[in-house]
Amino acid sequence: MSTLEELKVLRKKLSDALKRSQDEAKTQKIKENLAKVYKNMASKVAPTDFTKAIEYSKYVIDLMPTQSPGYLTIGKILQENNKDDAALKMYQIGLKRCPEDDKLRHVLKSQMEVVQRRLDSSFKQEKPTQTTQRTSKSSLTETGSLTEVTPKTCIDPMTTLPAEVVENIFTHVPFRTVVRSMRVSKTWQTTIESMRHVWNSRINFSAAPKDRPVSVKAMERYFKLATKASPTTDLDELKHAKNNIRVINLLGMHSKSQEYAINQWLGAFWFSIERINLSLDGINTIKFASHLKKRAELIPEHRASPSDTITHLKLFSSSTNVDALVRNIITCMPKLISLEVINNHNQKTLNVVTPEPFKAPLPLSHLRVEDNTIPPRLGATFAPNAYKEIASIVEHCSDTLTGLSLSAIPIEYTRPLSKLTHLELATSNHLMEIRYLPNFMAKLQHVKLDNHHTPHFLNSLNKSTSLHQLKSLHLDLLGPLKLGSTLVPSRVHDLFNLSLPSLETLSFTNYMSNIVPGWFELLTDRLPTLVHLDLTNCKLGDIEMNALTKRNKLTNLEFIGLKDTQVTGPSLIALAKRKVGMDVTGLDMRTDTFRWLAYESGVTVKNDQK
Amino acid sequence: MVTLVSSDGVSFNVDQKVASRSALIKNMMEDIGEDAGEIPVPNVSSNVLKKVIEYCTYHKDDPLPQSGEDEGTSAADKKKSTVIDDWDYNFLQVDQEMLFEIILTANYLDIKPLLDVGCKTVANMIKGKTPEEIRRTFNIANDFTPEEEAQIRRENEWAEDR
Repeated sequence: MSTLEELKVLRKKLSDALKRSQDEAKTQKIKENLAKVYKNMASKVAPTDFTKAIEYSKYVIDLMPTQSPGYLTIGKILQENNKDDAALKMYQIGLKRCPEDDKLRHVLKSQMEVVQRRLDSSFKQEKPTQTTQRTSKSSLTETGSLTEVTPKTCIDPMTTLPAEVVENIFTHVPFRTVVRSMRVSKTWQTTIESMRHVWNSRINFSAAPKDRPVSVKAMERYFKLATKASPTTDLDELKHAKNNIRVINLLGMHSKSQEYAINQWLGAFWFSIERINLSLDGINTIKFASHLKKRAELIPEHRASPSDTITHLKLFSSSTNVDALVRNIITCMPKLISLEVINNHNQKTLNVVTPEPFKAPLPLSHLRVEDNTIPPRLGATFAPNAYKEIASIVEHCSDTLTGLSLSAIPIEYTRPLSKLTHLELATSNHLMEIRYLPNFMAKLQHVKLDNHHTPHFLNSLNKSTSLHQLKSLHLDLLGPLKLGSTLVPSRVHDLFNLSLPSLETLSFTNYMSNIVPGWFELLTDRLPTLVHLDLTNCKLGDIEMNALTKRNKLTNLEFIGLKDTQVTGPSLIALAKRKVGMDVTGLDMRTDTFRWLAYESGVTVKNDQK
Repeated sequence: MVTLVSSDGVSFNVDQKVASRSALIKNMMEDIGEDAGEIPVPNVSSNVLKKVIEYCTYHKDDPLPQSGEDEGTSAADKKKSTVIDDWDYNFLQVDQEMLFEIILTANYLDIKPLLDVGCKTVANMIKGKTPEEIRRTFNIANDFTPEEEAQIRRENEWAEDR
């Protein structure tokens, strides 16, 4: 069976072919195939989306009005949705319109009888006062034109509802659909164009397809809508327009549009934007950095002063020098609370001069810097001071940071982070100095570490360490191929010996050495609140699992990830009997075992195998 | 008990708790006092008012939405919850005319949760649809010339489904 997506692709191809086709016989053939595709689509969506299903079926009728199975499809969908009387009418219309197709007529007739009987019996039971089931009775006629077949009366919301209600409706519609809907009618176009919130806080290009990024022309148009300028206004006049765009999501744009975004959008909305998501290619990252630099330097007499509104920035960039980029950002956006820089560049990060100390306090509470520049392999060389800036930011914000996520950013010294609750560290050969960790561990709620940081984290624990607020702990122990995980067994023992009274999620994945069964016996006693356990790709077999299943501990456990382990059928069944769901991707088991797990055990079973 | 009178003169006896789901009626009752007697609801017909009372009765024990929340947080909340709970979903499985009447009444009587869930229902009819499908859903005539439409289409090419 093909999926709905595949069917949609097929529909597209066929309808294109239909447009081009000149030959009548060929056209008929295409129509027939297209009708089949629509029929499949209707049955695909029927259980979840009733209106869509009806819509697709109507295409079937459109394409083949005199022999269409569409009448039958619509009827069945209506029946399933308890609209028997409407279904009956549908079948009657079908009979009238298809005098030739005997086979279909027969099916339609028998369906009609079934429905008729159901209706008769239900009329006896029900009193006719049911108002909640005001379905489609009145609007159906037998004349059979398609609009009249529609089970609902149709009204344009734009003309029926007051403006503020229409705005409310459109807050629930994705930006891309809103933009596309301007093509519905003139009323829709003008209404959408005048909706303030759409242009002030909903602009979001992240859904733009890769092969059709947002064009400069479109950007220009939205820019003018946002500034409420007439379409003929000269762009230069808009540079200092008063306006209040608050949120922009500028992902998925052409290189040219990116440049436009930096020059026009950032320029004009500098004093109103609160949140920016931005993706920039290599050249535009440089342009962005120099734009920021200008702002940073021209403070006194120029308008180009730091923004006092921008609080959230997420930047996908491509910079050879993350440090300098971050420095410029911080200088220009002193009100930032959350900064995320995800940098992709395949050249080595350059060295930087030691930064000047920050003058003003930084209120950052969330910092995430990922530098995918350096291949994460052991022994890679670093420019020794390449990340001084980020280190000093971390230090500077040590009293406000609640979330810190660093990937491939080595930081050598840091003060205790007294408010930190979320910590994520990945791929770096230099160490974050962890000796202060015990000072703020009491507040940690979420920790995610890789193979490299885990041992140091565990090393810094001692008997008096309390992790009583920790809710999730993710340890990905995937190490370099030749060397394997660097965590030694005694350290794992320590880990499983920790008392974690609030822990709800534990993942201990890609551990390449052998697992000792006794570890799990330790574990079961100490994690009273554990709900989710992930052991993906560990050397884990039935003996180890028995420690979990037999002793009936971990009473709250709801899901266990066993992808690519060596656990077999009986252990899985034992888990399922305890009502524990599982990921069984990559496991070797008998078909009947899988069938039982997936369909009869009543637990969630995930299996991504193709 | 309060009595609500619809535009076509039908009276509904409603518990105060149920009636105060409507911020408008709640304020009215507070202003007039306990013996409010009959409250006319002039622009709502009896079949719509009956539905709206059904909603208010079912939700009479829900916590009241807080008034005076600033725009920013409510917009964020709205975005988060495009999910409609089962009862409300079934409650709004009505024809478009009735749905819009309910929304208009919720707007007029100031019953915010009902207004929101109604708007979400309409939004779900628009979401993910092509303009052609939207026209068909709401029976809207396309009043663009082919050239005009092509022009808008070209401008917003990135948003088109292909």
